[in-house]
Amino acid sequence: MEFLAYAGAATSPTILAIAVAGLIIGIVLGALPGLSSTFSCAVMLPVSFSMDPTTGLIFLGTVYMGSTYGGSFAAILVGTPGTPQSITTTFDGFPMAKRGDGGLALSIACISSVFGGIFGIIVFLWLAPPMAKFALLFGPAEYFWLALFGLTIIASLSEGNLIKGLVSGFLGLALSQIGVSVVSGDMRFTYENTALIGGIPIIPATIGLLCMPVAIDLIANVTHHLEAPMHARSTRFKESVAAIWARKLNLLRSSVIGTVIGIIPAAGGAIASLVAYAEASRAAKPDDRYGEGDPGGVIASETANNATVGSGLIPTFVLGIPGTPTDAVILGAMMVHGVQIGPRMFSEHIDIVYTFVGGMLLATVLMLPIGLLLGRYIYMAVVKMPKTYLVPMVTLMLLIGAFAIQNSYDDIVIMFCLGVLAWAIGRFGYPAAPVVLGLLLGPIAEQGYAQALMIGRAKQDVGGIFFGSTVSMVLISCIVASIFLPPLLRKISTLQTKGMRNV
Amino acid sequence: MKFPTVLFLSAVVTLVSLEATAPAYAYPDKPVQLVVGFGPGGPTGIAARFMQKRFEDITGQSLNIVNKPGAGGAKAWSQITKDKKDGYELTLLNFPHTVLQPIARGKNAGYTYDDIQPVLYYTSVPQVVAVRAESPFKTFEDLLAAMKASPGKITFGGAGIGGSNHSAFYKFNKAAGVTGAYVPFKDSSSTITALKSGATDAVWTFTTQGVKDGDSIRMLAMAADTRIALFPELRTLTELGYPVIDMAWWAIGVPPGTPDDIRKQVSDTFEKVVMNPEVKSDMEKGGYLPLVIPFPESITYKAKLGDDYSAVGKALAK
Repeated sequence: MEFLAYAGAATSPTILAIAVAGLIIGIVLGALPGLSSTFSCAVMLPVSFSMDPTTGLIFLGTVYMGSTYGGSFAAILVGTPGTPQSITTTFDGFPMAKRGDGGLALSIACISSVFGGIFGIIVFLWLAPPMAKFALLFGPAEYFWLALFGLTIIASLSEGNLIKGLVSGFLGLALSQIGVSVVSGDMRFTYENTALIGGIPIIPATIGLLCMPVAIDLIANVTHHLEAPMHARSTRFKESVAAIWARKLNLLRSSVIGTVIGIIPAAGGAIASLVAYAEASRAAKPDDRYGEGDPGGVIASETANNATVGSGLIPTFVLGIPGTPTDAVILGAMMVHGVQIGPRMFSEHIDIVYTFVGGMLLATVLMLPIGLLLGRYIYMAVVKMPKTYLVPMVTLMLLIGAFAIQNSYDDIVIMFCLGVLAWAIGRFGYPAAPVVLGLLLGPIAEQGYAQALMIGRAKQDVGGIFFGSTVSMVLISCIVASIFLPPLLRKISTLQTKGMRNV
Repeated sequence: MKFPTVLFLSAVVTLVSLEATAPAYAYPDKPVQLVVGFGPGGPTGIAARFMQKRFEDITGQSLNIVNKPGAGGAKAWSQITKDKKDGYELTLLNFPHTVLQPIARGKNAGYTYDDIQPVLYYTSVPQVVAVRAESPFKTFEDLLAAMKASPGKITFGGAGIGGSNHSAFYKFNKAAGVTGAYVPFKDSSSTITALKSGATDAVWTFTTQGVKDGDSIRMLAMAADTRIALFPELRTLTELGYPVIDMAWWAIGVPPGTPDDIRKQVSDTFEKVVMNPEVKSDMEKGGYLPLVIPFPESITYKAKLGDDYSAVGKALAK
């Protein structure tokens, strides 16, 4: 097989060493709150310049893969998502850790990440050129519907208190309006404050909204941070394999969702893990406890976000369109390295492609032992650490995370303000995750809507632009289903139980 | 002598001797920071990375690039006045963006054109009008005929509103007496994505995208007066009868109020970097035209660009 011949080059000791180094660097950077995959790759760009193009690409790819997985450590053990991709990992991972199942959650996250990562890479290997065409189905109108679909996930995530979830979501949308409007060029809600003209930066906002309240609660509560685990020295590997095997459908579905969303340009791991999580919780059995520490939530989130790594490279390599925000950095690196991308790359530079894929595959497989080993030590360290050390350390990491992305003190102020806000509204039962969703999806929805409207007006066919394509219709169906299906299903199931009682 | 006094004196002696051993021409003697107002993968981000690749080999110090994307670059430019004036806190400047934004946004822009202080213009990139490979517009003449046949109906994507792509769109339409619909996107990458998906009919973009996107987009004409070596077949608007010249320029910028001798050091050092044969060939391969306008000529060049674009800026701001 041709692939194996080229992939063999990836087993050279140098490349292997670099891949493992990239993986560990990625895991460590990703584990620090706020240091996203995009940032990790951008920081490692200069290092890749000193390597030959193929090795440099493998290095960046492994940093990307590692950081996508690394985010799960902080998400599970402290409840602070290390990267936006792992926001949904906190929903069930942190409750698991709290009740003493942190080691199990970490092992599940590791295995799921490896599975999702390999799934995405294999799709890239076998289906890249045909699948790339899928990326071209997304124009402004389709982005608008996709973002709306993402926003309806608020409804399914905040079952039980829909109104409060929606209020938080709208707060996020309102915050996303701050700054220069891309389409009209107007300056909105900045009050001549230069710190706000670029809008609310997503990373400091994520840290503030989702991590700061955790840090405040750590101080406010006298109880132990995590329950001590029952089996002190075990990663509970067998148990985690069994837990995943029992949810193999979830694993597969989340891999497919992650792969598909990874191909949609600029959507990325954060949206993929959200959609996968929402679908998993929708398909949940009555005795599953999503949001209260169900292993299925960790599986969905971590499988999907790592699947985007491989599949996001499909449009990046084939079309020169970055599949995820991080792929834009990798694309830039290829240009500086002088690697010509595009369909021709698959015919003329198949050696680079195959060696790259081979290196990525090997590194992802190696992520299993490395991740399990790291997980065991980090878990025990966090459990044993007294709160008096844990709180300052977490706070310091939050400050570094908010500051490092843009070397900006303004970002720390923004993080702090949003953190206090999130903690305060949290006291009244308003969740912070929908605020982040609104902030993330608001600009996509707004730009897509305005651009589609401008194109529609020029063509004198606004309806056709918004409703004309198959993708739009599929997304609209998904939106309708995600709004009306959960209450409908609940009604049916209550009717059924009533009926059974009557019999 | 007490111990703290000894310590203090020795510290003073060390500092003085350090000062003495560091002659004025030793710039840079610590890492240099370059703030970039766009993401790492776009035309501006890449323009910065070309220098970073060999900066350390050439100067002995590293170049730290900090990407602060937002507001079409304005997020970074509005912070320039807060930087230290020591030659170690630099910002990458884009033209004509920095001319056009303060005109369109006024006080809200966060900076004025006076805050923009280029010390070395180091590259420029001509703009092109392009369509996707499957487009029915095979030539520039096809596109022009379609614009004339259905005024205002042909859609043109471009990066941002009131930026260089928008300026080229406006200037060309005015010169040719045609109209079209301009659709602004977040950045060059999303502009091209929309073109390839068929959402827009055409784009105004940079020749660098022609390098990046090779077979999947077709460049129809370039807003320049002479053809470039990289694309010898690509016709200029000037030779097609429309004397429209519109480019993007990149320059290394210092905060206002930086002393002249420091400006000269920064300019000389970066000139050495961009004149390096490998950096030069990397940039040319990427579609970036080499250009060297060092300090103090950079000041008069900035004034010229300001004059050239102020009329367009006022028209786009309406």
